[in-house]
Amino acid sequence: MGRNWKETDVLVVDQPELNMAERLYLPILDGLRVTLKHVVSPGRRKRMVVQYPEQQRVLRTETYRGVHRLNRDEQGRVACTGCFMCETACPAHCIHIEAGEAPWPDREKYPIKFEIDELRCIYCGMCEEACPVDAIELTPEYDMVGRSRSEMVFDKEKLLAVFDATKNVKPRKNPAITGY
Amino acid sequence: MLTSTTAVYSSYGLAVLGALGVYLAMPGGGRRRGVPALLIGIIAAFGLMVLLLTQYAGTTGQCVSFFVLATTSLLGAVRVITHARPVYSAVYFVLVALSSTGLVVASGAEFLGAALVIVYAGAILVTYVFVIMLAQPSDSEMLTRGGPLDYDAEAREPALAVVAGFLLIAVLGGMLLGRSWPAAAASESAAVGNTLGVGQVMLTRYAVSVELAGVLLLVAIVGAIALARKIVSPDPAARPPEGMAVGEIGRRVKPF
Amino acid sequence: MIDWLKEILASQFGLSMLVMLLAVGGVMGAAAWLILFERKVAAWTQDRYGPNRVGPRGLFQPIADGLKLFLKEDIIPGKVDRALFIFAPCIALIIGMLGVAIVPFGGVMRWSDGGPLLKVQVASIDIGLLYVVAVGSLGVYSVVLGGWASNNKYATYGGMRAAAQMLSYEVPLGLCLLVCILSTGQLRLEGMVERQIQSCWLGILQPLVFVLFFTTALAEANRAPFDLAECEQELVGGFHTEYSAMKWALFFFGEYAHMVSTSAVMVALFLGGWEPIPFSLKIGGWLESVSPLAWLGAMLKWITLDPSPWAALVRGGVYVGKVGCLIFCYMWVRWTLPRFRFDQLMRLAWKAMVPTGMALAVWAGFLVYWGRPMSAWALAGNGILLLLCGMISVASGRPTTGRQDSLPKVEGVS
Repeated sequence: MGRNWKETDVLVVDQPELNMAERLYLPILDGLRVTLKHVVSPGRRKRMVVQYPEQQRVLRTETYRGVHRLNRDEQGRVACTGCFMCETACPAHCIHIEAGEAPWPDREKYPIKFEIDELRCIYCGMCEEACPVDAIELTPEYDMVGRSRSEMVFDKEKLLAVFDATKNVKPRKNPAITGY
Repeated sequence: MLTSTTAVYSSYGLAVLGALGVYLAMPGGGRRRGVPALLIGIIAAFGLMVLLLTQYAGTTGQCVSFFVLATTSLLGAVRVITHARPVYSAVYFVLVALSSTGLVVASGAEFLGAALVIVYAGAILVTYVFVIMLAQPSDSEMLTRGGPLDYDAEAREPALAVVAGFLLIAVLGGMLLGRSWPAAAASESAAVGNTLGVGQVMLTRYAVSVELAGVLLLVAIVGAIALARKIVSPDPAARPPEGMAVGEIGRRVKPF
Repeated sequence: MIDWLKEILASQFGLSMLVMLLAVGGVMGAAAWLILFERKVAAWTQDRYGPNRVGPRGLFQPIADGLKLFLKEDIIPGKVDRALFIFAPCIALIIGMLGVAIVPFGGVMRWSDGGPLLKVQVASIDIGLLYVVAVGSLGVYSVVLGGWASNNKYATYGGMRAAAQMLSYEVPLGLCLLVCILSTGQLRLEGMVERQIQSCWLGILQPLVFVLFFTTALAEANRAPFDLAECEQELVGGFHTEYSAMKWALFFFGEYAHMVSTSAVMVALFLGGWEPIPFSLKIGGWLESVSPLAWLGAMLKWITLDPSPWAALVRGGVYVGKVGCLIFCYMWVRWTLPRFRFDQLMRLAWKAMVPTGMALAVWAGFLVYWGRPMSAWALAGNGILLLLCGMISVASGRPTTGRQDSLPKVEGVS
C-alpha cells in the first residue's frame, strides 16, 4: 500500500503571473525564432538523422535486444533443457514449447518444439534472464521481414539458425551449464 | 407582351396551380402524390417564368441564367418544405439562398448578393443547422423506427400554409406584372457603381434605419449575454455548496 | 487557328479563362505539393529530412501519396447519412478554391501596344472583398455537415467545435477587412494593390491588422494552433473521424486550397500584391539617379507598372512567391505552437481580437475622416493600441489562460 493521501496533499498551483509581453503573446516570436533556426540549419539534421538502409548505427551487441536465438552447446546440440522458465516469464506469451525426453544422458528433457512469435514479442529480454542454462538469448539482429504472420513465428530450426548466423558477432555468454 | 391585366390574371391562375402542386407535394397523410405534384409544379413554375420573361425582356444570356437559377431556386424551395428530414430542409434552404444570390447578382445587384450569402447562407442557416443537429434524434434511432419521426413525416397545416404562401406570391406577382417599373433606377445606380450607390444611400437617406437596426442588434446581443450569463443548475442539490470550489482542494503553492 | 486563339486571348474573357485554368491547375497541384512541403517543414523544424525517397529529394512523394489515397479502400460506414457524407468533403474543396477567383495576380497588361488593357485576374467584381467574406462564410457547412453526417457523436461535436470556431473568427476577420477597405477606400483587390503601390503596403502601415488577419486566417483554415477540429490525441479527431481515403484527402485538399486562397488575398491586402518590394516606385526612381544601379531602378519600375505580357508574367511570379512565403509562415507557425484549448481559443477571439479589431476599425475610420488613411499615423495608432491592449490586460489582472476564475474561492486556503 502506498501513502495514505490526504486532501491537503493535493497541491493547487497558482497560475503564473504573466507580464505585459506575455499577455500580448509576444513570446511566440521567440518560439518562431527557435524553429526557424532549426529550419535553416541543414548541418544539424545531417548530424542527427541516420539514413537507414545506407547508414546503420553501430549497435552495442552485448545489450541490444533483437531477434532471439537458441544456443547450441559445444557438441552442436540445442542447449535448451525444456524447463519452460522462459515461457512462464514471457509477459507477451509469445513462446510456445513442447518438451520431450532427452535422447542425451546429461539432461532429462529437451524441446521437441520451440516457437517464438516474433510479432507478438515485445523484446523485453525476460526470457533471457529467466533461462537457467543461458540457452535463449537476444541478438543484435533487428531487420527481419516476412510475407505472412505465420512466417514470423520462428521455430526451433530457425532459432538455431539465428545462433549459427550470429555466434561470431555475439559469442555465447556462458559455457553451457549442465549437470544441474 | 401581354396586356397588364391579362398578365396579372394569368399570374393568379398560375399561383393557384402552383399552390395545388405544392399541396400535393407536402409530406404526410394520404395526400402525397409525387409525380402529379411535380408535373403541376413544373407547369406552374414554367408558366410564371415565361410570363415574367415576356414582361421583362432581357438578352438571351440573362434569360438562360434566369431559367436555370430560378428553377434551382424553386425546386430547392419546394424541397425545403417537403423534405421529411430537417437537416436536408436546411441544406436545401442554403441552395435556395445561393441560387437566389445568383439571380440577384445576374440582375446587377452584387452587393445585395454578397449580403444574402453572408447573412443567410453564412450566418442564419448555419445557426439553423446547428439547432436542428442538436435537436434531432440520431440517425440510428431513425433507422430502428424505420422512418422519420411523426412531426417530421407529417405536414401539420398544409392547406393553410400553402394558401397563405401562395397568396403572398400572387400578390407580389400581381404587383410585379401589373405595373411597369421605371428602367431609370437601374441605369442611375450603374453609373456610380452598385456597391457605392448602396453605401451612399444607406448612409444618407436611410442612415436612421441603419442605426436603428444596429441598436436593435446590440440590444439583442446584450439580451443574449444577460440570458446566457446566469448559471442555473436544474437541481439545487447538485450545486456545489457555498464556499467550496470544484478542483480547489489542498495547499496552494507558487508556480515554478 | 493561331489568329483565332489570339483574338480570344486579346479579350478580357479569354485572359480570364487563361488565368482561371492556370489558377485552378495551380491550386490543385499546389495543394498536393504543399502537403509534401508541410512534411518537409515539419521535418526541418524537428531536425529531420522529411520524405526523401520518392524521386529526387522526395519530390514525387505527392504522386505516391495520391496513388495510395486513390487506391485505398474508401469506407462509408454503415449508418452514416450517405448523401451529406459524400457532399461535405466536396464543399470543403470547392469553397477552398473559390477564393482564388478575385485574386489580381498580375495587375494590368496588354498583348500588344495599343491593344486594350486587360486585368490579369479571373474576375474583377465590384464587391471584391465581400466576395471573399461571402465564400469564406460558406466553409462552415463542410465541417458541420461532415460531422453530422458521420453519425458519430465525436464527429458531430468536432463539427460543432470547428463551426463555432469558424463563426467566431469570422468577426475579427471582418473587422480586419473593414480596416483595409477604409484605409484604401476600395473593395476591389486590384484597386487596393494599386493604392498600396502609390503609398505604402498596408502590412507596414497596419502591422497589427496584418497579424490579426493572419491569426484569423489560421483559425478559419482550422490550422494549428487552432486545429482543434482535427486533434486526434485529445479530442478523438473531429468532423473527419469517420472519413477515409480520397474523401478524407478532399478535406485536406480543401484546407490547403483554403491556405492558398487566403494567402493570396492577404498578399493583395497587406503585402502590396505584385509589387516586388515596398515603395518600389520611389526606390526605383531614386536608384535610376544612381548611375551604376540605374538598371535596377528601371527594372523595379518595369515590373511594377509596365503593361507588357512579360512584365505581367514577372508580376505573377512575384505574387506567387509572396503567397509561397505566407504559406511557409502558416507551416512555420504550425510546427512551432502547441494547440489552444477550446475556451482559450474562444476567449482569444471574443475578448481579445474582437475589441482590438473594433478599436483598429475606429482608428482607421478616424484617419479617413482626417483625410490621411494611408499615413504613418496608422502605424502610430497600431503601436499605441498594442501598448494599450497590454496595459489593459495587465491592469485587469485576469489570467489570460488557465482555469475558470468564475468559481467561488476556497475559504481558509492561502
